Amino acid sequence: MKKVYYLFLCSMMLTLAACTPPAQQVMPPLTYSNQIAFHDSQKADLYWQTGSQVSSEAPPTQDYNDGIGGMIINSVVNNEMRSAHPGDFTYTYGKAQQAVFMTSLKNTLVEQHAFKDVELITDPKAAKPQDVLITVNFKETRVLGHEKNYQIILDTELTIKNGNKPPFKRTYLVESKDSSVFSTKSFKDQQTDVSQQLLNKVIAGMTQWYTQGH
Amino acid sequence: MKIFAKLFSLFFIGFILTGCAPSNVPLPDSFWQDNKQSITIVTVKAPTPGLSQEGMLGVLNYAINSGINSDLDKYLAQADLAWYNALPNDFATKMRKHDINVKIYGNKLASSPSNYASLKGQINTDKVLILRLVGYGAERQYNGSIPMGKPKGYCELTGDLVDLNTNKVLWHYNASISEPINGEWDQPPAYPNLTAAMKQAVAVAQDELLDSFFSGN
Repeated sequence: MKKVYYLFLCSMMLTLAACTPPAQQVMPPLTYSNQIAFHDSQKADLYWQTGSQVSSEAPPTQDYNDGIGGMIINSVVNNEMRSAHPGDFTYTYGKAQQAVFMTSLKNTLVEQHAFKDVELITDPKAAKPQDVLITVNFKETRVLGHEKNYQIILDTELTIKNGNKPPFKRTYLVESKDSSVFSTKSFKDQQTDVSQQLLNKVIAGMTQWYTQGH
Repeated sequence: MKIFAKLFSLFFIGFILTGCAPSNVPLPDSFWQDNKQSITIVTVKAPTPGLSQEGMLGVLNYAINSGINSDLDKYLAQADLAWYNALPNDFATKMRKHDINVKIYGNKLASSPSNYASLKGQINTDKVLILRLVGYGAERQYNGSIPMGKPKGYCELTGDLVDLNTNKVLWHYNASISEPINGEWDQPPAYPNLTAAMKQAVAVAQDELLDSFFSGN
């Protein structure tokens, strides 16, 4: 009975130690399942700004049963692997993820005819005066450490400018759910979760802008 | 053998519980629909800024490292906390734009309240926003007495909005921010690069706390 008890505890610890989701994945395009409640007759220009990105690295694996020689060899191999493939060990919500978000936002606005036309632009000066300029600023993206299962926190600002009217501004802080040590959620799922939350909030913000007199 | 089994079980339970810090609680949308509410903002007395030693180290390592870092600790202990004293005003200004009746409690609490019922008697308000600076200064990873890399600027802030009629926590957010130092860090007596990283950590922590509370509003 005691042996079974010790085996159970050891297997639980090994299971938890093995539950590190792989880093190098980018979430698939997002979908918006609700109906957007406005249809504006103007063209919208979508502009995107990137702020600070705080990443996390996977901790080095180490098997202490290999002895000092084994530990040194493992350390060298770990460092070589990290140098050759840094993306496999770095958890980030960077430009790749933000590009998927902005493209998904654009596609959602186009499919639901929220505006006459929607275009992603790289320079806000390219927006014409008669267009609605929508800026999503990813002020800060943060990925917490392995002890939080690489939970993602996004601090973003939405700004909508329409002609000479005062700009409409909202900030949104969203974080991916289920950050417990028992979580089996992949990093790709974390990205999808937090991005979906942000998409829902940004569209709610646009709806608020429209109903307040745009 | 029994003692070993008990110690092993305690270690395992402790390992599990270290992942169980209180989760953040987003403010419900219904909060912003109440135009007649009043809130009192209180702050908890700040700890002395210092160097937080993280990683695998024992009591003796703490003592040795503290001795080695005594100059840095003396510098950090004098860090400016004016920004923390201004944080209630930052919240109050934004709340008043939403027609919320806001007061700032003049005295700092000695520690985070363990009993919200006693707080109601002390402050006489329906809802209280408790702001707390958990830690400020620098943090550094150690393996024993061996530093594992440069220190980072560090700031940890928490906020709790509590309904004192029901003792329910309506909002909780923890912003624990570490900012890397650009360039050299060991620059006594003023440590300019470390100070810049600390200021950046403060700016990010304040931003996250405010943006979490006012998210979408």
